[in-house]
Amino acid sequence: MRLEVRSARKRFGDTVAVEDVSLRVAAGDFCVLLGPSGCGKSTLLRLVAGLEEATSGSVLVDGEDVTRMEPGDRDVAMVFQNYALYPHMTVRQNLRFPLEMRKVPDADARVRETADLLRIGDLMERLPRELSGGQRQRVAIGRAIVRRPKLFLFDEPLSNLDAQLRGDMRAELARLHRRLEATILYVTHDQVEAMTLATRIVLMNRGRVEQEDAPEGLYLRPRTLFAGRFIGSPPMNAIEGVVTRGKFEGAVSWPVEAPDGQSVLGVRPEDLRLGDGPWRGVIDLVENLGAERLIHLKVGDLSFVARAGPEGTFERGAEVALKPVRVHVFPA
Amino acid sequence: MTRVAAVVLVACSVAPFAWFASASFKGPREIAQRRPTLVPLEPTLDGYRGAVDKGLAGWMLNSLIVATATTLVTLPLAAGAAYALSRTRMRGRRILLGLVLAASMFPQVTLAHTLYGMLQSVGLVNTRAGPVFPYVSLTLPLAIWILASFFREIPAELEEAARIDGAGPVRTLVRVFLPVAAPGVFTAAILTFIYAWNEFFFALVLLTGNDVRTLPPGIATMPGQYTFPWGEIAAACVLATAPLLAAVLLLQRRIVSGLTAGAVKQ
Repeated sequence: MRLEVRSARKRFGDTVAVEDVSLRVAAGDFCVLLGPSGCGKSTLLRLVAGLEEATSGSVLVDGEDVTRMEPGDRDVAMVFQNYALYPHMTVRQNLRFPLEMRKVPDADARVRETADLLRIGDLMERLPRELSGGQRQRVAIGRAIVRRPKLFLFDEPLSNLDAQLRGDMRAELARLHRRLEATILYVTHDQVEAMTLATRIVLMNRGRVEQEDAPEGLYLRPRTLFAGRFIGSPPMNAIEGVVTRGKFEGAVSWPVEAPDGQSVLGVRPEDLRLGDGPWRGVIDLVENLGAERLIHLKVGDLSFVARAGPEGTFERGAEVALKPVRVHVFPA
Repeated sequence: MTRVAAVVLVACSVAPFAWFASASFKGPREIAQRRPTLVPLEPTLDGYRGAVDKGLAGWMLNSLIVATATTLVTLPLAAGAAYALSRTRMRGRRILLGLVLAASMFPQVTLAHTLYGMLQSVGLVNTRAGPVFPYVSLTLPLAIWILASFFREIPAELEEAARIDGAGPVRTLVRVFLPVAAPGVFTAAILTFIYAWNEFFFALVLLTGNDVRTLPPGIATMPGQYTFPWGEIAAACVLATAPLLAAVLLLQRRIVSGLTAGAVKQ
């Protein structure tokens, strides 16, 4: 199953939620729509689901134009952030509902199979309010996969779970994706979910696609400062300056391969080496996370963050030499 | 402290009913005697017999017809309006809800004359259908408010999930929305029914024939010019209240969850 979105645009009154977005998701892809809240990623998902009507543009599933189709006719399934389980139905009835609506034969076998896959077989006669958050999430996913749709849509499915459970469910979703060979469109604002689950990430900002790439590509080759700073935690250090004939000059200077002009030099915290190099910084704060430490430095008037391993001593107030091992240059 | 308050409150609202219930089983002499008794010394069903002789059964049937008709007309209208008000992203939604409520604030006396004229011109004075019209318009605002606040608590994602699962509008309504909204719908229904069942003023004005009279104006005709049959009146009042009381007690859990649904987040 292939999904294609062509120049989709969505306005709510005067506000533009999605501005001219085009998108291709190949069969079997786990495509993550990533971005800050209000960037239009959820609206885009709802356009694909058919829950919102595009102001202009079109949605194609396997080459067929479904833009004007009812959600139920698009053969997509959706998992909602707040689960949206039918509260008056048992788990079994919740799972059966989409099959009954489509008059699928052999519904009982399908329900059983799905319950086994998600290990919710012993919850079948319970009502949603008698389930924990993680169990509800499983049932919601079960209701989506039970009828084997062409396309799965996930709208921030893990954001209501606590951190431990979120990690478990993340791993489970990755397994499910492999096992079902499903095509998935998944909305999140969590870059860790995006990096770990996605085969492709569509990074959105203010209703537009900022960059579309594989997770490694987005991390290694961000095309804009926004993309560079959105992926990675803590975010990339940004230094304003000017590039002239292969040399960046600002609060620090560094040779770069970039066209001349006003530019921003981006250096990830993990790409800064401490103890050696032409740059000089004064240690302002050390955050010890156990496996690693975040070293906050003042370089001139600028604040830098560098990532360091557990070895070596870093004293507040000490001056250290540092250099980048990889830099990114963005036009200002 | 709260327990004391609750006891006082319940006592205040139950005491008159208990007193009437007791009086309905007394003879005229015992009712009029100087030292009142709570438990009748010589229990009698004369009051009930007298009330039935004066047409109580007919009035009850009329009340049942009028109140049921009012509820059946009000609820679908209110549900439709409440659904629209709770789901659409509409400017001035709050103002509209306020206006709906304002419609119920007109004093009945100011409406009576015009209403009588209107119903007379279409031949509905002295028919059981007559009072249904004012009852529907006067119960709609409250019903809309109850249902709108209840519907707002139902996440729109439920309907969206049903749409994606392949349910059309009708099946979404019947299989998903209504079962979830049932306590709210029920609350609105019983309050509407109670209003129409108890309404006195319009019924008095619009229903003058004994065969179409509802309970409240019916009971009001019981005192004669020189007699005041307290026992019969008490018996009629008990019979008028008992069905409502039974219904509310039987279904109180659903009503309570309906009444608090708008205020409390589950």
